[in-house]
This record gives sequence, C-alpha cells and structure tokens, in this order.
Amino acid sequence: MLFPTIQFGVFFLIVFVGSWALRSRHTAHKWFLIAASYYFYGCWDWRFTALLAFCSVSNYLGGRWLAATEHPGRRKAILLVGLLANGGVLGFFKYYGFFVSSALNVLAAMGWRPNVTLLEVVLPVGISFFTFQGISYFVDVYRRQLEASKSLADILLYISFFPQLVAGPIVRASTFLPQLQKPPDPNAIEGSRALTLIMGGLIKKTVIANYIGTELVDPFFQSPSDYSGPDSLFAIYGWAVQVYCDFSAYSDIAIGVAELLGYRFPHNFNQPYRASSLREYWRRWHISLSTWLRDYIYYPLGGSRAGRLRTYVNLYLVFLFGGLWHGADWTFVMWGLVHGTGLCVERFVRRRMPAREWPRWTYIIGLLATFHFVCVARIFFRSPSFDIALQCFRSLGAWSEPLTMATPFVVVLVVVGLGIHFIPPKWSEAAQTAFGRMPLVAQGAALGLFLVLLSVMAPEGVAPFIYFQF
Amino acid sequence: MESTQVRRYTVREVTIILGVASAVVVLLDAAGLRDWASGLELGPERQVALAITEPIAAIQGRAGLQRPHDLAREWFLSAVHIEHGGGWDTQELQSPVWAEEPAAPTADSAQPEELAGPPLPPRPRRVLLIGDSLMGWGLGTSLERLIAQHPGMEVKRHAVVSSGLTRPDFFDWFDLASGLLDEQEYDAVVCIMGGNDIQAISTEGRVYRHGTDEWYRAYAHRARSFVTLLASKGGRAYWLSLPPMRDKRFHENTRRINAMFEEGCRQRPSAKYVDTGQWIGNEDGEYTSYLVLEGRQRQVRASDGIHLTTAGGEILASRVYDMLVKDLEPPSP
Repeated sequence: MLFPTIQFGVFFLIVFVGSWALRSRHTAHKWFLIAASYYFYGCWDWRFTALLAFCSVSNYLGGRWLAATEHPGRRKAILLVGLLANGGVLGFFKYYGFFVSSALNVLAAMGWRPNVTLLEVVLPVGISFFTFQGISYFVDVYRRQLEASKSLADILLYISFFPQLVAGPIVRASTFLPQLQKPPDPNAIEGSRALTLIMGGLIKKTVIANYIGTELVDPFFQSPSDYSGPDSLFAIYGWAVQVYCDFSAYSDIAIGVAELLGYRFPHNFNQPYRASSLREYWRRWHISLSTWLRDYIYYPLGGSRAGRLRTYVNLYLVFLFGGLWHGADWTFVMWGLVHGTGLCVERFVRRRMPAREWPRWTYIIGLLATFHFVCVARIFFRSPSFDIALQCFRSLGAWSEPLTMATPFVVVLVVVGLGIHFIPPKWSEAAQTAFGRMPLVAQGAALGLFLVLLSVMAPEGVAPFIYFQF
Repeated sequence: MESTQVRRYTVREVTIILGVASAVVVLLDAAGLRDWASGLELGPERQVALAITEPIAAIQGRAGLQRPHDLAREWFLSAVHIEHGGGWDTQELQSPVWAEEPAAPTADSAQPEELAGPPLPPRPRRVLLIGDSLMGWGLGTSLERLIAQHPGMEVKRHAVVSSGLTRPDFFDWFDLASGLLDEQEYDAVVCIMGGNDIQAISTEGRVYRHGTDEWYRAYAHRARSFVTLLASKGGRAYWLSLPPMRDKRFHENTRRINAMFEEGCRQRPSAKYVDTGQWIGNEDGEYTSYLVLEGRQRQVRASDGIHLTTAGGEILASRVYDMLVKDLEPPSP
C-alpha cells in the first residue's frame, strides 16, 4: 500500500477515526494501531508479518533480559546476542545471496568451483528500517539511556508503526516510546504543519519525482551510451532531484500522518543540496540514518577521539556499512567508499585550513563542489551494474552531441526540485501559519482542491518509493 | 525546526478538515474514485467500492462536475507533451467490450518448422516489443537497447505494468496493440505477458473464477485471438513464454497459461512460441535464481521470484535478439 493512493487515503481515514475513538482506552488504542500497522505491512506480503512480530518480540524479551541483570559481563553477552539476532535477520534476508555468490565467484577465480545450491531468499520490504529500530532500542537499553519497556504492545507498535515502517525515518526508541506512556493529546495536533508536510510530500513524489523518473532518469540509465554529454549531465542532475523528492516526500508524509495520529517524528531532511561541505550534507540528508550510523557505529568505533588515522578508518567503515545498508551490491559499496573518501579528504583539508579562515564566497564553491560530488557518487547508487556506471561516465565526456532530453516541462521540474533547497525556512513556517489562520472549512476545501489538482497533474499509477527496496 | 507559533488543532477540527477535503474530492473527481474501484482485483472489496463510487460518479457526471477536472487534465497533458498520462501503468477505462474481440482462427494443428511471414521489404527491420512488467525492465530495456544498436533495425517498446488479457477494464491490449500496428508497419512483434492473469474473468455480465473450465475456455479464446491479431497485423509474432516461477503453485498456473499461448502460436504459421525456460532456467528448464555464466555466479531473478534482474534480462534479451537477427536478416547500412 503506497502513500499517494486512494487505497491508503481510505485506510488512513479509517485508522484516524478508529484510533482517536479509542483514545480513552489506551491499551485498546495501541493494539488498534498495531493491527492497522500489520494490515498495512501485510498488504505487501502477509508472510513477513510473522518476521516483523518475531523481531519485535525478540527485542522486547532481550530488553527485559537486560533489565533483569546488573552483571556487566552478562549484559555484554546479552547485547551481543541481541545484535546478532537483529543483524542476523537483516544479514540473512538482505545479504545472503550477495555474500555467498561473491564468495563463490572469488573461489571460482581461484579455480575451485564448489557445488553449492543457493537458497532463494525473498527480501521483505522495509527490513533495513525495522531492524535498525530494533538495534537502537536494544543498544539504548544496554547503555541505560532508556528503560526496558515492560509493555509488549509498546515494542510491537514502536517497531511496526505504519507511517515509518517501510522507509523511515528511523525513529529512535528514546523518541517514540515515551510518547506511548500516555494517550496522545486530542487538543495538541499540529494540523497545519502535518497537512502542509503531506501536501508538499505528495507533490514532490507524484509530480516532480515520478515525471523526472519516467521522462528523464529511467530512459538514461537504461542505456547511458545512447546519450550525449549534455543529456548525461542533465539526467544526473535529474536523478539527484528525483531521489531527493522521492525519499524526502516519503519522510514528510510519514511525519505528517504520524502527527495527525498524535505522534511526533523527527525531521529527516533539511534542504541537503544547500550544503557547502560533505559533512554538512550528511547533517541534512537522511538525518535519521546518518545520526544512527554516528551513534551506533562511528562513536563505538572511537569516533574522532581515537587518533587521526583511526578517525579516517572509522569514517571509511561507517560509509562502507552505509553503502551496504542501501543495497546488497558492489555498486552500493562503491558509493559508500566514494563518500568515505570524500569525507576523509575534506577532513584532512579542513584540519589544515579551518573554515573560519575562508572568505565568504567560498561558500558558493563549496556548495557547487558538494552537489557535484554527491551527483557523481550517485551514479553508482543508481546504476544496476559497474558497466552501466562506466557508460554514464563515458557519456559525460561526449560533448559534441546536442542536448535532447531537456523538454521545458522536465527542465521546470528539475529547477523547482533544486530551487526548493534555497527557500528560506521561514517561508514554509509562514505558509503553515497562513494555512492555519484560514477557517476550518476553507482549510478542508484547500486540501480537497489540492488533491484534485494532484490527480490532474499526476502520471497514471504510482511508482513505488525508491527507498522501499532498502 | 519546532515552532512555537504553530497552531494546535483538536481532533474535531482535523476531522472537519478531512471531511470537507473528502467531500471536495468526491464532488470534483468522483470518476477518479470509480476508476480506482474498477482497477481493484475482482472480489468483495471491489464490489463494495464500485457499489459506492459508481452511483456517485454517475450523478456527479450528469451534473457536469467532472468536466473541469477532465478538461484540466487534458490541458495539462497536452501542455507538457506527455502521452497517455505517462507513468508506471496506463489505465484505459473506456475500452471496447469483449464482444468486439477478433474471431478465433481456424485450427491448424501442426506447428510450422519455419516461421512464415510477409516478404521483408528493403528497409530497416521494424520490431515492436509489447508486454507487462517483464517487458518493462530487465528483458525489455536490454532487448530494446540491443535492437536499437543494430544499424539495420528499428524498435519501439510499449510495456504496461500489471496488465494482461483478463482485465480489459484495467487495460485493453487488443485495443492498444491494434492501434500500434495500424499506426506503423512492423516486421515482427515480440510479446511477453500472462503473469498478471491469474484472476477471474468478467465478460458479458458473467464472472468466471480462475481455475474453472469456463475460465480456461475464455482465456484460451483470448490467447488465440491475441496471437492472431499480432501475427496477422504484425508480420511475425514471437510469443515469449513466461519464465519458470519460484512459487510452485504460481509456476503451475503460468505453465498452463504458456500452454494456451503455445497452442495459439501453433495455429498461426507466422507466430512462433519461444520457451524462455531453456535460457533462463536451470539445466532442466526449471526455476533458478542464479546461473553460472563465463564462470561467474549471476543472479538472474529478482527477489520476488517472478521478475528478471538486469543480468537475467540481458541474458534473455541476447538470445531473443540473436533469434530476431537470424529470422529477419536485417539489411546492412
């Protein structure tokens, strides 16, 4: 079930009415939301609701086990078991085929061809997100930053809550579980913020991302060698806009939907293409993943306090892991390594030349350099193979051919997709305030007209969100 | 990003907003809701959705309230130069009824040794690729690329996700294929579809559940008719079988669908049934996720056990391409 569909609209209206009607019976309210979330997830494949339940129950039991012991060694052992359980689920479903076939290829190159029958493993949607949420809960309980939940319903709802279940944001247990301690406040819904986020997300996904995808990016990446240098560059810019509009749209809609149900999620994007350095970019892009990697991998490895060389190694390891998290393929590993290298080089330069000594105009240089670096790295992210990625790079060099893919409509979409990064944050707050000041009926009419306008402009059907595959 | 200025709403206020918004959508685009209901899988959910949305759409249409939406969409699509609404799957909801389907051909029991077809004219060979999502990416994109790179061949591809022959109310392949073949003369049509057809057939007011004798009779008729249409108007028709599927039950169902298309091809001298299992299956032609090619393990099937990966698409496309080049003998530039 995808967000920008009538099916989801009907589902949400039922859940909205049902959950608020059950508000005074808090336990029933939570179980209702759990049932709705499992139905939502089951719409992809009912079989995997059992996996979702298994992950939730095992994290709940693990948390209780941790809470029951004070012995440091035993706590460490329990942590290890918990990490292995969550990591094992993710590793088996997502990486089994990748690692086994890679290993067999290495062995074949060495002249040994073992007769191994590979298992057929189906990838459950959203597994990378809900296993990371499980790990965050478990580690936070181990670190005593969070009390182990006594309520199984709370953990089931935390792991499965449908707005963020399949593509994030990766909501921390420390953010969500305290909200389950009492029923959501029926008088404190940030309605104008929620509705403007949902409307913005819908237009980013159904109009900007979908049209750029079908009219520009998909044809280019099918056969990059058929296109000229200017076309290639334009398509790569288009891909940058598409992936931002697609993924940030999902996060915005998720945040808005959760808000209407009385729950708060953190922001996941903050105009990433206005970053003037890679470090800043990662503080603005997929914030919930980058902070997760920082808190649960980078810091435990020693972060930047374990010596210069070790800091560079840690950065590489984090981005290697981040690349693999996105997909079980060597192209994703390469994407991670390119980013890791970029961050190491940037760190090295910054240590020699602190940013405060740089003139202001270097911001523009930094912005352009960061954006183009991100675009180049994303070629690996989008290409289904290294061969296609190399074709993209070769096409970028063919500047004797003209630009043919830049239809006025697609150019407008790309410009708008980039332009929204430079809208002052106060403007969006002003839009929310202006929306909120209208009479309620006018707000409803505006929302209704927006949805009709969306059906006027949207392409037929809706493509799945890009991050579902992760 | 939290702002102290943000207005706090009560549940009642949000309910009013959502209620008014829903009313506006029903008032101005009830046909969109009916079309959505019509696109649902046959079953109680669809019946309920249609029972609610059809009368509303009829009243709203009579009142002329749908007109602004339709005019605006028409204007928008023409202004941005997008054909058929673009997108991932195209719904053609005003499609002709099944009474207009082509008549079944006369049976001719022998499968021809050589593929017959009209004489090939002295110009680049034109190939049309059509089908469902299997022709959409993987196989479709690779085959399109290979053919386009041949200087003596031209190619056009039209793929519609989730489509097939059981649900003309969702997408009418007879209508589209006929239109495409009238628009342009082709030397060959390559088609793959049928994987979305494991569902009930509704025709002339009757619903045949999948698996019943009536369903097989109705589907076999459509399969024969569609192959006839492609073979008679498209020069030569190549029907690619659905590849072996991972799920045993699904595989059995698709095997039966393949058999009906094979029978349809057998009756037309200019139609060829191509068993893809020989190229994308294991040594017994059965499902496998991995194939060893040039000493390397390649994952050829997507995680759903149905679609092809890029590598799988390339493998199958190269085999089909070789077959087309051999049969069509494209001229050298």
